Amino acid sequence: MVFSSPIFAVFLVIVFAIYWALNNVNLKWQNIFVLVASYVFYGWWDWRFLTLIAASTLLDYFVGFRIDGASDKRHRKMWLALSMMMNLGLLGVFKYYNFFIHELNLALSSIGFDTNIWSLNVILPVGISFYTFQTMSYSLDIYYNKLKPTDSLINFAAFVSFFPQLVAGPIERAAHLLPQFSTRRKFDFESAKSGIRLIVWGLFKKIVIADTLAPIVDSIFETYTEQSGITLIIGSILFAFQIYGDFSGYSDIAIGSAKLFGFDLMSNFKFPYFARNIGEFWRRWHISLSTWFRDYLYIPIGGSRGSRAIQIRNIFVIFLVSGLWHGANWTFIAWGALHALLFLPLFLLGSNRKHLQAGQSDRYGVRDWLSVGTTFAFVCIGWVFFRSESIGQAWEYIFSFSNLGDTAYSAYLLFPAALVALEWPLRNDERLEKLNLGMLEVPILGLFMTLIFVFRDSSTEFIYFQF
Amino acid sequence: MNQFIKYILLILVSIALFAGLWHVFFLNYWSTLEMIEKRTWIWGDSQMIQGLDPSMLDLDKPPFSVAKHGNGYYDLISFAHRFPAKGDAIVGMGPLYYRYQKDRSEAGFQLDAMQAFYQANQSNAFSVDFKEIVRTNIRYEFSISGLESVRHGRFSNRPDSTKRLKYIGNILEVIDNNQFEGLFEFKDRWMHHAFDELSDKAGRFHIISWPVCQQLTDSRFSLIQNHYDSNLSSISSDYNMPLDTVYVGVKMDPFHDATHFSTDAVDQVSNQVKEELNEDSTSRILVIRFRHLSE
Repeated sequence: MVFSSPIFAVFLVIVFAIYWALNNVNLKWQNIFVLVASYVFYGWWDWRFLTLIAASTLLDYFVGFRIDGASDKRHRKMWLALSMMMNLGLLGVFKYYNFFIHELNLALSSIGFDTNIWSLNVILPVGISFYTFQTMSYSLDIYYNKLKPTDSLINFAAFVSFFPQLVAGPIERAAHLLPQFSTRRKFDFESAKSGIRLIVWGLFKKIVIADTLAPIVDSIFETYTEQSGITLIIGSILFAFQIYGDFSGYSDIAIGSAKLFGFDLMSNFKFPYFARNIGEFWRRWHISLSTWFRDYLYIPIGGSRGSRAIQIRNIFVIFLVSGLWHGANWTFIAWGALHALLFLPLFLLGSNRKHLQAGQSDRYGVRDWLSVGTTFAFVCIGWVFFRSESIGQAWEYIFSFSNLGDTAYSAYLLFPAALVALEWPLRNDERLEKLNLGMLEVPILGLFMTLIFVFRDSSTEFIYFQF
Repeated sequence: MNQFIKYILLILVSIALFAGLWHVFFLNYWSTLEMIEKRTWIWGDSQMIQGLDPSMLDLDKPPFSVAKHGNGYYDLISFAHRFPAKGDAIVGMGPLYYRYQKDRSEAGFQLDAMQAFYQANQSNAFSVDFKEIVRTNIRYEFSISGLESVRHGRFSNRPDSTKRLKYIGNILEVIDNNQFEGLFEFKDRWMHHAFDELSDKAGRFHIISWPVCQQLTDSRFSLIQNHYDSNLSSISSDYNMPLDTVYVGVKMDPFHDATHFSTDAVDQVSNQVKEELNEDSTSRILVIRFRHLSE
């Protein structure tokens, strides 16, 4: 069930009505209903996926008690390792096994061993990378004494499968979302209103921006050998906005839908293309994933402590793992490596923590705009790796930037331009909570919804579902 | 909660208002284009898209194609009612017009067309699946795809015999299952309805009649072909449009599959049509026929 489909609209209305009707019954029944609705939502793709999410839920629910009740550090570590192994094992089997086996077969055949190690005939369950990371955060938070295990299996299962953010995030922390299931929710008009705004804004970014650009980007990347350099540059810019519209649109709909049910999800995007360096870009892009890796990977392996060599190693580890998280392909690893290389000079010069309060600065001077342009250009080069089928294709695409020829598809740059123009005044309010449109609010939402209907011709699945 | 329900209802009302405005805009969009610059409006199904290259026609008024794969009677009527007065029209027709009971019918919601269907249903003369057409086209009304001229495509010069045989098999199966007598009457009625509109409004109005491959003509498809040919003659006399056969000389099989031309055939047909249109500006029916030349 895709957020941009009519069936989701019907689902949301029904779930909303029953959920608030149950508010007067009791909290437990309301949480049971959230769980059932979430399983219906997820099972809509393929009911067999439900076994995986249920297994992951049960595992971490019981491991949580074991970690908390362990008598010594060694046992705590052992139970945590079990949770990590099982969750990463699930990811390994469904997401990475075939990739590594393929690479292993290639490596062995290149040195004369003609092997044919079995690959698995499995499909990648939707959102597996998101909910496994969410359940792992529960075990990790208990391990680091940030959280006590919950007694309620219902609450925990509802936290893992909470439908607004189940398939593409934001990847919530147990310490933030789980306690919200134990607290009685109260309907708040202002919060629900900003939820509606976010849903409409998210649909606009997904359907009007991302889905309109998708066929153009596909066409440019499929025929990149025949395109002029300027068209290829346009293709990389359009993809930058396609993936941003697609993913941040999903996040906005997720956060907005959660608000309708009285839940608060973390922000996932803070206008990343206004970033003035790569460090700031990563504080604005897919925040729930980058902070997950920061807290549960980068800091535990040493972070910015230790020798310079160790610090540099840690930077590469976090970016490479982040790349690999997106998919089993060398292109994602190359994308991560490129971002590590771009981040490294900032780190070595000590300017990586500049603009720490991303989204809070009001004034951009000439130098800021130059930095925004340079950062965006590097990010677009990174997107070429991310979008290409192979590293070879990505290189060929980038080296063809200097090809002369006719410009095509330049009119489609109006879509990114329109998005930037709309986002600039909102840059300090990514959750659209402070937005005060007065009497114009309703007509503006109506206008945006009409645009969404007009453009809803070729709505596609969200890109990040594949991760 | 009551406040929230009111808020949602207000949003729904404003969506309805904007949707109404969009409908009015869409209805008048072609006329607006016509005011800026007179155009030649091209309508047809996949035979038109894969059979004629509008850029080769050298028309006084630039072409604006609304041809679409699978276009049928509803789409033709919707086009005829939307068509701006004084524009020129080139309509592609062929025996495949009678192919299905239900066409794709995705031209967009058009009030006059709906009214015509409604009246036909009321008179019990020609029953149309009115609800289905409304349901399908309300959605397409909100599509931006109808706002720009369609790009016509090309198939390769190499005949695809697998595709051809498969298509022939499918169409013969449809022929075996269809009650054609009723379908002929039904579709002819709507074709005449559309041509009444177009001949009243258009400056120049041409019909291009497409052939199908020989294997299809030689089969049970002749049932459809014969009816189509006789209907074309009656259109010629009803609308006072001379019926001119345009012979296109070819050395190779001009069909890529059963109904669509190869790239070379598109060039030849487009060139011949261009000459015909430049030679004689009166409204007429151009019947495309291929003539095999010896190597």
